[in-house]
Amino acid sequence: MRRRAFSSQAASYRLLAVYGAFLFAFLYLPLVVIAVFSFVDNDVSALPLGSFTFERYTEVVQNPAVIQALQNSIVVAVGAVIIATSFGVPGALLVDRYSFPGKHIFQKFVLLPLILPGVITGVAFQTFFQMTGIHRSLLTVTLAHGTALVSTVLTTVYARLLRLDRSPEQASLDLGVSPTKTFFLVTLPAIRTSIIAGALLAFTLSFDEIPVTTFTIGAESTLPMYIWSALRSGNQLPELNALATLIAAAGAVLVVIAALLTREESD
Amino acid sequence: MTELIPTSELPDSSDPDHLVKRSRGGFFLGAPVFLWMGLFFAIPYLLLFLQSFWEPTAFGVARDWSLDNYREVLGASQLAGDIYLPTLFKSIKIGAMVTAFSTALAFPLAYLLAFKVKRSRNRMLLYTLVVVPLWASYLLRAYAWKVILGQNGLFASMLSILGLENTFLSDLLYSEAAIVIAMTQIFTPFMVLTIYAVLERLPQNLIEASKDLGVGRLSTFRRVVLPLSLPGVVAGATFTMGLSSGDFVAPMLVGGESDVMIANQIYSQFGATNNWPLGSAIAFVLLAFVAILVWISTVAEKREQI
Repeated sequence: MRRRAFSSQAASYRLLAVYGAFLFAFLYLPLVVIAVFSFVDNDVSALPLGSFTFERYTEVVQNPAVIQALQNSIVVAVGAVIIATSFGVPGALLVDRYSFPGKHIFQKFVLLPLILPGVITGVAFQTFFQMTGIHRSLLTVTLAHGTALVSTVLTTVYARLLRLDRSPEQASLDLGVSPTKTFFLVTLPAIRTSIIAGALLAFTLSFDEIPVTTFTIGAESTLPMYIWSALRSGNQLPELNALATLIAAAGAVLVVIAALLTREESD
Repeated sequence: MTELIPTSELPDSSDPDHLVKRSRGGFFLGAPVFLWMGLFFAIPYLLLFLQSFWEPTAFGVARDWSLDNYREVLGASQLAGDIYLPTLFKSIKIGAMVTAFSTALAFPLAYLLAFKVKRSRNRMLLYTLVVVPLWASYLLRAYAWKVILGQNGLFASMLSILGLENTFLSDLLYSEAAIVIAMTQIFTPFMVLTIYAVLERLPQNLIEASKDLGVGRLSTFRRVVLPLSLPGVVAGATFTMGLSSGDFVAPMLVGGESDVMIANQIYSQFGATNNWPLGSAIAFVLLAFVAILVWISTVAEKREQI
């Protein structure tokens, strides 16, 4: 009886493991497919596979439109991170430590861009820039991204603040250190990694953004917009596979850094 | 932002003892945030709302107030006929399918991660493996599915090599099914993370107590693990449902000509069709749907907590 129970447990564990393997295959299939097609000389991403080549990567690296779009994306993402962090961190402190009228509404309202489909935020900004007569450019994209990403930094930092041990702060205040000094010497170091993690998250989100970008951009292009319009114009350029693989690899590196940072803190 | 955040919602305010009622510090902290978010966040949404009551003209928008746009969206206008409401329902149906599939796929993996992988190094590795595709770009994953399921794509070429071009399998190409498959893959990692976050915090002794009392593993799962993990499932499902019903990127890349979703209609009203007031009204109907969704999930979560 006991033995049977044991072996059925082992069997169900094995079943779960097989299931896990299948699910990972499903999750990674698309990424593997583009990576494979980025290294062959097929004009269309279809079977049979052609012969191995690095040409797609040299094409991408030498394409001035791609380089320009990459530069624009970095400029936008850095600007967005600056905006999101400078309002997200005070916002998190505010929600964590102060009570003020309309706090519940503020808490819900700030989170809107997380739950709302991006298209709504996008057309809201398009309407705003049109009515205020602000010319659409990379600046408007940065402003829209940064404002929408305040929520991302705010949630990440707030989650850390909730778990923060308050006694060191209290000790510092009791010892007569000013609140401002306490903040910079005690609180800030304790939440530093969550700020970095939130900023990294905001960076990758902005770097990848389509829905808000389409409605706020002018004549320039960001990297996702470049891919998006190439796809929409119908010509499935083979070098897009190489570009996609490069972006995915860069994204993975950022994720691992963010994961390591947040883990260090929780230890 | 259509992208997904692991910390799904702000928990309600922390220990009230720490909350300061009024202070200069709070004012200096809060004023810039309120000013910025009010100017660049509240006002855009407000303008969008106002615009949904205005009229389109040849040159742009006339500020004549009426409910015409909403009438048109809700199918009460005889001129336009009934195209927006059915699209909304179709989008909700697709979103519901994506939510159901990704929850069903994600739960066993989250369970595996939380209870069956004992070594923390392995768990960390698997966890990171789930996170990587989540942040490996929404656009790229939708694009990859276009490569796989699109015209002249990988799947089509496999079918033609196998001589199966005209079977039911070709229905997977450029179709609603393709949209559902692509979005399921896109949202599954997010569901794994939210469910795992709850399972991880389940008190182990509760589960052991249930087993010690002679309750079988299946009933322990059904009576202890499942009910306690529902809040995470509900929170994750709400996000997945709202974001997938309102996406236009994946439908445009992997869907067929007729597979237009509600967000695509907003997109075209603010683009080619150039009827911003109507587009605003559609956007607010979609927003109302998301608001109802959030409300339902809040009520459901409160019920669970009792």
